[in-house]
Amino acid sequence: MNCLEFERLLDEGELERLPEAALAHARSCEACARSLARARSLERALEAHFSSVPEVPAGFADRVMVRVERGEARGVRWLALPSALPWWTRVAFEPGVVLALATLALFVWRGNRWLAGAHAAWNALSAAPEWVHSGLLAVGFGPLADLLSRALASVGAAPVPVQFGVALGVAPLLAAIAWLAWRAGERLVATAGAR
Amino acid sequence: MTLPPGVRPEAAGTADERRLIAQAQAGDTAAFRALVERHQARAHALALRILRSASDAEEVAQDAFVRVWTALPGFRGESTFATWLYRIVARRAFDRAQVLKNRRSRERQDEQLPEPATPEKREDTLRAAKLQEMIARLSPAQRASVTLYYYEGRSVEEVAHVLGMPENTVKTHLLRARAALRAAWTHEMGDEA
Repeated sequence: MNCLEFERLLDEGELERLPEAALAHARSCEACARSLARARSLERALEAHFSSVPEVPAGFADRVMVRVERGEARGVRWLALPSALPWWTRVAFEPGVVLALATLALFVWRGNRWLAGAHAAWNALSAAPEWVHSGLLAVGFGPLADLLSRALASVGAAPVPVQFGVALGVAPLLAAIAWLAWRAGERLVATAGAR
Repeated sequence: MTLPPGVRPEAAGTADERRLIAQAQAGDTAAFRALVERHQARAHALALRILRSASDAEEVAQDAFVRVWTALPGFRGESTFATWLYRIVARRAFDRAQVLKNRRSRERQDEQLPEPATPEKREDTLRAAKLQEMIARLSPAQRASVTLYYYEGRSVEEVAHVLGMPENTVKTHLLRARAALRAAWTHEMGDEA
């Protein structure tokens, strides 16, 4: 073992479980023996530091209880209550499960009509570029409007699988924008809360 | 209900504590107050060690206790009450430390950490103060990792769980923190260390 390896072992902090090779090195190397002594001294100081408990501010418990009794937490406390019903009973009545099953049943029953309706809605949406175009022209974004409407019009005229592919491609972009907006909002809230 | 000095709340996880928890779970605020009084010192100390700001530490510790009251009905005793509480405190303190780090780097302000329990010897006081300064110079993640390492019985796994980090990340934080502390300790103490 060399001095660098020995230093690395000291940084790993297992001073009580140093391998025999490391201890032998410390016996033969004065500098590493001093490092080991200092590391042990630091370890003792850290133990003492973290076992000492600073004084709690006076009235701390009172202030906690004021917040508890004021009802800061009472409104949502029931959410943490363990359920008195077995899981299979809860699952049967879980609104989300009921809704999903009802949707699935409706889809099986009227699935073709739904798909036709969704297709018609998509076709109607493909007329949106015209509205966007006229709106952007009105506020002076003519070139951008042309570019946008050409792009969207070609998508609208494309076969359904292509439209679907474009929608899949745009979805991550929208998700990224939503995420950025969320983080920006979170930062505003956190900053306000930290004041 | 305050524990005698030197007695850790984990060690006092007795039938009495279980009774208090059961009563508090049923909505008994007096029992909850007893739990707060029993654990406030170490919960507050943990927040203080991570945040180094008395006002922020108090706020975080208070928030943690309010959160504990909210979540207490779901507490099933899989860990001790103290461990559960410290996890809540540590996670909140770490989140707050990250926010404060960004804010402080702009404002360059720092509050003084109150002195811990007075050591008997002057030399010890000096060493404790120097160690405190060294710990203060660590990054929030390193400080939180080191603090929790000593709070969680030197379990890297527990520290990683509390901070929501991979174990290897915690090990890296600990390694770097220890290297920085050893360098500073050697510089401060020289051969007397």
